[in-house]
Amino acid sequence: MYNTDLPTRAELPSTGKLLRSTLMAAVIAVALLITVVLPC
Amino acid sequence: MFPSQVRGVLGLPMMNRRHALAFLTLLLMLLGASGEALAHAVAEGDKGYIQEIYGVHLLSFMYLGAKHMVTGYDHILFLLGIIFFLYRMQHIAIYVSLFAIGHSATMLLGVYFNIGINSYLIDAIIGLSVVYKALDNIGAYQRWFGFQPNTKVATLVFGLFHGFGLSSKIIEYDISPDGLVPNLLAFNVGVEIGQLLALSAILIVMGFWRRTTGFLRHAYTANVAMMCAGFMLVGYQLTGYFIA
Repeated sequence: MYNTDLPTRAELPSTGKLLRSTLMAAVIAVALLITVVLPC
Repeated sequence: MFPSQVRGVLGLPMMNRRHALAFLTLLLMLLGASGEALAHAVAEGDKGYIQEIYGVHLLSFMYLGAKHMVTGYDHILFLLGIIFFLYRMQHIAIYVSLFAIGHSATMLLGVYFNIGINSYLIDAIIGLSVVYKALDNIGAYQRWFGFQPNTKVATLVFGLFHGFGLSSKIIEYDISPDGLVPNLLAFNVGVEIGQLLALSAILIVMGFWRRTTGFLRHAYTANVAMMCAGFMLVGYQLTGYFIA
């Protein structure tokens, strides 16, 4: 979607959304690591 | 600016319910897929077998290569990221070949010249490649840096790192030097067969998924979930590095 045909700047997700998503991915990753993956 | 975004994340109402559901489903699927694969070395029985045999064993090594690829969570995730927005078969062929050339080169050379990188570190880098590709797919580099980094070069370069991951693991098995080169080539052929098997499964599922109306909306979420899995791989390997 975003890396094939160059989209116009307006079509790209906003910096805020991207940062939010990245942060959410990192937080969930750490949470799952500590609670599920590492203990077993 | 940033603290308010943090609150937005933790106070989930910003995300609509359907997104949340899709996200959770994906995470559950990823978790279900992990299990054995998270350890991601060759199973003990296989390692013992490799150390016992010497001489040329083409089929055995081919099987081990294919098995490593199909059960290898990290390589498959990166491959999924690469083909996520490739719609035409010829594009898929180009990118998958670039990845194959990259990982074959470093795998063969790495084992032949005995270049082993700490397998925790190289696996952490492989995890980072998944994060990189997920961010690339959601347009983060275009938004943040104003241009699209070359996707073919990235595929080749990360292919080289994936190959070092493979070679580091093979070196740990301590293969007999007797028949090393044919065995390695067989392992490599097995890796490519495994990759093609996994790829066809992915393409079949993607084909159906792309036809659904919500694909583009879910694609964003899916790439964020993929990034999350990438972070998990990095964290898992770094923990191993500091504990072991």
